[in-house]
Parts: sequence; structure tokens; C-alpha cells
Amino acid sequence: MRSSSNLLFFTTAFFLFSLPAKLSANGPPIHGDTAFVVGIEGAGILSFFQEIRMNKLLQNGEEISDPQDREMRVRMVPLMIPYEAIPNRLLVGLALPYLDKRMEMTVGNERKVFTNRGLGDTTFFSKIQFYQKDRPGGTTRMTGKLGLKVPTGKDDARDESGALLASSLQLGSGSWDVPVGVVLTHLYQRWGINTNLVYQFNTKSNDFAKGDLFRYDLSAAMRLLPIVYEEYPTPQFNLIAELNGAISAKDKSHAVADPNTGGHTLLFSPGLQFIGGRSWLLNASYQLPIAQNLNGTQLVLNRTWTVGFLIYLR
Amino acid sequence: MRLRKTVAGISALFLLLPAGRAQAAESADSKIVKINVKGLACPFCAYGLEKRLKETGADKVKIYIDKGMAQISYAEKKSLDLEQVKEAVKKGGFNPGSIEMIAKGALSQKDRRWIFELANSKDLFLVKMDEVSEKMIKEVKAGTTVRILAAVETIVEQGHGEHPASLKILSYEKLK
Repeated sequence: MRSSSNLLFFTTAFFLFSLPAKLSANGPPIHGDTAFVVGIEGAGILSFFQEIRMNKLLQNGEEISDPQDREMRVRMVPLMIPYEAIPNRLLVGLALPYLDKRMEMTVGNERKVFTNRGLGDTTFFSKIQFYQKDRPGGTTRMTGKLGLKVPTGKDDARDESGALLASSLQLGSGSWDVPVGVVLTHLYQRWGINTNLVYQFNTKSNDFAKGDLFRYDLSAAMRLLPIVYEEYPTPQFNLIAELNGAISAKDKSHAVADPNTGGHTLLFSPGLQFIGGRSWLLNASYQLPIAQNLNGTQLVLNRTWTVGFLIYLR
Repeated sequence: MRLRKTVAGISALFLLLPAGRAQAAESADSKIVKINVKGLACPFCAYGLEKRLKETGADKVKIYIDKGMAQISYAEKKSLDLEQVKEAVKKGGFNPGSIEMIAKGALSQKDRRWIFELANSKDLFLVKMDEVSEKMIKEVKAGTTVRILAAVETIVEQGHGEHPASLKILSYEKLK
């Protein structure tokens, strides 16, 4: 836990203080976040479709063969509705995901499929902008974030035999969790950078506590077209490259840490963004794991891809 | 070959999408305010700025991202409130910079100071005295309608205090 805390501290310090001064973000990141609390960010309805596939088993960082040949697939469609409560200062909103989870594995000599789908936990979020420095053609902004994840998703789903499904297959965690974070956005002409740092305090539910999670995202964006942006709105293509990291502590069941949980995952996520008009944009991104240092034996990510949209409906 | 077709297709889509391009020309009678907007660097965040500027009673709002400038057109009869425009920029998430104005009106003299009165709306602006304004005063009789391009500046006058909306005339055109 101590080494995890050190890593957390250094990662935070690195991203907060070593940002290249001349980079910035031109469109909102696909997986990370932006410090903006105005514009489409403050008024649009955001959703996306994400598919995650996991079928590789790692034991202390080494790939091993899985006797159960497990394959997990998660599809997620969250709906995020923000509301600009105080102009250019405070944004509040909620995010509600629809989840479709499927695990295929060999039990004995039989291939079994476990599925679970429905609405997950609701997160109420708030973003408050506390720093803004504007200059011609560029801006730097910082925003603090505070949320509350409410256990609206079912956490006691059972399989056909009546056995409780594994926590990774449940739609909700059953716990009330609190994400706290900070976002930095720096824009300059065609370039942009966004840094998103979030620590999620997870609480206990039914004597089970998911390990706290620290998430860090760094995104760099470049406007591909048009090279010179004249009158707004003009259709626009952005190229986005993100690093999305997550460090999680071990889960605890009856106050005992599970050695096969927690660790560090870092994904590289190249993506394309098309802003078609004043009220909508489309995103597409593919995520590749570049580091998965996980504790014990765990099923890890093979790939994930995302297509998303943001639309203004009000 | 397939890749070429895909690239050609995407390019055609990009060129053909007309979003926001079809803008009618401003009426010759409208007043135009051009305001520099500091921090304007992303189209996805210009949405709120456009919305706030429209709320000032504008007929039309144009935003130029790379120039960092918003151009707002008002009907001639609409009274102009530049403080409201600046406030709208702030509420839209940005910082207001310098302002220029294109408007029709006439000169008049009050208390030995030259005033520019906008046509129809009766908004009054103090004229900053310099080479261009002195030339205009000589050429254009008081009461004659002219169209001006002017920078909005703050003038501090001894005994009269601060005038936040004074005009530094940049060019003018006498109207028939």
C-alpha cells in the first residue's frame, strides 16, 4: 500500500507540474475530461458505446494459460447530463450507465456463460472551475471535481443455479463511493492538452469493499482540419492521443485483502473526433494496454474500443 | 483504391457540410460590434459564447475562432449596451478584449465636446479627439449621417471623469 501511495503521489506531481507549456486541447478528450464548464461541455448530453474484452490471464505480470479459458466482455452505454449551475463556474450533473456483461468459462467439462445486463450505479457529479487564464488564441483552466456514486445498480444478481454472480459481473457495487479530482486544460491554437486526476474513495457494502481507485488521464489533441478555423461552426476533425491509467488498491472481503485484485493498468488510446456543427460531435477510439502490473492472478484487458457522441438537446 | 475512395468521401463530406456557412449579409442599417475574445481556442466551447451573445438582443452572431473575435449585429433601433456584451462574453466563459464598432449616426456638439449619436437608437458616445476625428468634424457637418468604424475606448477627462464608451474614429463614410 505504501509503494502504491508513493506511485500515486509521483504520478500526480508529474502530471500537474511537468505539462509542456505550449500544448493544449482542441476538442474534449474521449476518455479523460476537460476543465471547461461551458459550451457543449456545460449543456450537451453525452453518451458513448464502449466494449471491453478480457481473456488473458496474468500471474504476477506473466501470462499463463487459463484452465477455465475465461473470456469476459463488457458493453457500456452511459448517459451523462450536465447542467451549468453557475455560468463559467459550476457544473453539476449525473451519469447513469447501461451495462451488458458476459463471462464465458469452462466449469468442469462444461462451457458456461454468465450474463447480466441493466442499469448500473448512478454518479452525481460537480465541477467547479477555480483557475482561468485567457490569452489571445489560448487558455489555461483548472477545475476541481467532486462526485457521489450511489448504489442504484443491482449488486446481488444470481446465476441459474441461484449462486451469487462474481462482483465483476454485478451491475452495481452496492457501495456509496466518492470520486474527488482535478482537471487541467491548456489550449493553444490548434493544440490542446488535458489532464484528469481522480481519486475514488470506495466504501464497504455487505462486508466487501472494492479497493480505492486512482485514475489519471493525459490527452493531447490536434486539430487536423481545418488548418485555419474561420467562422464558427465549421466541421472539424481532431486527432486525439490519450494515456489512461488506473491504480487500484486490493479489494477487501470481511476486512481481508484479496491478493488477486488491485494493481496498475495503463492504456494508450488513439482516437478521432469529428465536430460536425454547433451542437454535436462524434468520437471513436481504440485502447491498447501498454502496462498491466496487477497483483496476483487476474484476467486482464486485451482491447477496448469506444464510439461516442455528444449532442445538445436543450 | 478503397482507401482513396474513403478519403475522397470524407473530404467531400467535410466540404459539403454547410453548418453555419450560409449567413445572410448584414443589413446596411444594422450596428456591428466586433469584440476580441481572450481564451477562445476551441470550437466546442464557443457554443455557450454564441448563446450568451444572442441573449443581448443580437440579430446575428458570428464567431471567428482563429481570430479570437466575435461579431455581433444589432438592429438599428436596438439600444447598444456594451457592458452587457462584455458580461455576455464573461458568462460565455471567456474574457472580453478590445471592441470595435461599425454604426450609422451623426455628430453633434455639447458643452464643447463632440458626441456621436447612433441613428434611431439615440445612443450617445463621446468622440475622442485626434487627427481622424478632427478631419471628420471639418468634412462632415453636425447632423449629417455618417457610417463610422470606431474603436471603443475609455477616456478620462479632467472635470468630467471616466467615459468607458468613447469612440476613437478609425474611418468614416458620409452617407447620402
